[in-house]
Amino acid sequence: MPDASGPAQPDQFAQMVDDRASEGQFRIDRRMYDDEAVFEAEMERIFEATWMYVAHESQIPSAGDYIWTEVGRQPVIINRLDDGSVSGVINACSHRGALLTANRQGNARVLVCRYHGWTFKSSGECIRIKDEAAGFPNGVDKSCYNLTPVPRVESYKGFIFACLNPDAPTLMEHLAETLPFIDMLADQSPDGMEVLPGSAAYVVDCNWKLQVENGVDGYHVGVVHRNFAQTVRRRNEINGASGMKLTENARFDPGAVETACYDLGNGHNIIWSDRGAPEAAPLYEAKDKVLPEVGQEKWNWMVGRGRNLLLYPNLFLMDQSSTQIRIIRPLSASSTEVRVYCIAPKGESVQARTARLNKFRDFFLTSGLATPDDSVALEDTQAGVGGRLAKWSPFERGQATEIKGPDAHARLLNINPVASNTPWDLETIFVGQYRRWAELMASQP
Amino acid sequence: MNAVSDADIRLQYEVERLIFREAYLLDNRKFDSWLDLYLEDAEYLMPAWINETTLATDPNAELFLIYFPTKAGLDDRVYRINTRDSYASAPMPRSAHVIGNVLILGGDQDRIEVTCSWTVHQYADRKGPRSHGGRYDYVLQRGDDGLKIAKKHITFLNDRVDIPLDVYNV
Repeated sequence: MPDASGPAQPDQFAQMVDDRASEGQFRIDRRMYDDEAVFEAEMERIFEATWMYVAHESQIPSAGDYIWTEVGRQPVIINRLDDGSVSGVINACSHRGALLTANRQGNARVLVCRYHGWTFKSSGECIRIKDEAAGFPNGVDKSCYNLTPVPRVESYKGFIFACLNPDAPTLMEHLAETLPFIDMLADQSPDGMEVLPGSAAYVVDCNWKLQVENGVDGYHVGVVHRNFAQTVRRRNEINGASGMKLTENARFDPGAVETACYDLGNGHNIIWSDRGAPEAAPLYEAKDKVLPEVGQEKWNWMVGRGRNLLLYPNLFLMDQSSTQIRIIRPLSASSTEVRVYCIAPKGESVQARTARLNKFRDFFLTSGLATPDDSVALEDTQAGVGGRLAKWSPFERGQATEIKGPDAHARLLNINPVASNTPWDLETIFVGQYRRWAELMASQP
Repeated sequence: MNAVSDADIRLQYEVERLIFREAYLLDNRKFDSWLDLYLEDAEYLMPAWINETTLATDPNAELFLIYFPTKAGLDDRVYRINTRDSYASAPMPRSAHVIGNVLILGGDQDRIEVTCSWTVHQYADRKGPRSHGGRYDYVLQRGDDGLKIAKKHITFLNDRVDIPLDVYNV
């Protein structure tokens, strides 16, 4: 057995997932939640090796628009080039390494380093070296000093992903079975979707994997969010709320509505729950515009089912009472930044936009009525997993009811999950997450 | 500077007494008395940052961390805390609000615009000591039972929030 006291060694990573599902056992070593050696390897083998969500195209609509973000440990600029394409460079001057952007977001047709004045096209091409003739009297090939490109930047229906590994599969191969579920959010307006101005970020003192579990954990909903349901029910009654003003809450009662979860492969997964009151969804008003475009079956999913979709490892697309982009960014083994945006159909009514933002603040913000409870529960979990004598976390609930492949609902969508289960709170999907983790951690970068 | 009149001094005192009382009631968890400081149609706003220098201004089009068009939103928060069933609020962090630079910016004796700076020092067993701060912009309104809060706009300086963040620690 590995020594439980020292830092984990690379040859121990694979053993941290005790995968004996055929014998009814699947558990993970809790050291993976707080070991710094594991964390460094995750940065290299997961966050800097697979596709990471970076931005939505609506945030950089015009040539020169940029966002400065991080992919793994690397600062990157994701920007719109003059030809309309989306690209990326490492946000570090080729001269001394200073950041090239003063702001997190802005417009720069050229990137001028504020330290020594070197200047680059937004594509990264070096076009000016200050006092070039004095520094290089015999001439210089400035292309030697171009910025370092981000090897892969691709987008799907507005969602931009970057990958630092030039040999990774294409984005479409990576997303695979998740595409129909991305479409259910992306296709909510014939005019496209937009990220609303303003973001909120919060730091939770927990490992990123606890955040990634929590976003698709149906099991805590009836416990941690019981008081949310109680609070909004009381408000619904006081206000006599109806239509979009109603806060839908059927999912908080186990068994009240149909639910399921799918392991979508590559670590991705989804949990869904029928809405008790589809007319409460801000999307409901768009039926005449959207249904003819997407067909009845997909429309039923879009408006009738709340969905939490995980695109492993750093993005949730949430479509519950409101619609959210949630980006997970590990800061250390025991600290994680979560940045959230509200995404909405372009052209929706003022009433729908207002309802969407109301419900977003209620549930999806750490200054709201639900997310702070998740966050503190995760911090408590982080504190607990540090107990080395209690070594394993089991993910074994639901093995008896697991369906290999699609259930009846998935079959209607023509998708092929690795496994399906119902209700949504069974742990099938976490098996998929941690198998993906083990697979990536075993790879040599 | 114009000369300071006795009326100015009385108004400054009255304004400060209300603002300091709000801090006292929050830090001492006297939430029902705290709610009494607000008018029924009081607006309560805490916008998100749009970028490094710009705060959101339209709660129905942009992201706000907290926005209540009426006092009912504050009532929801108190109800939730009183359920004793909110993971984040039981136990609550200890807190001390410190408010300064209270400056009357405009209005008249019956409707007063006030700005001030605030910090909140907190301690929670799991998180240790922390503090954060910003600015309050109030509109206070005089009624039959004295000054009440008609609007509170909270500028929260941090872009990255240390959790939890709620009406009791801003």
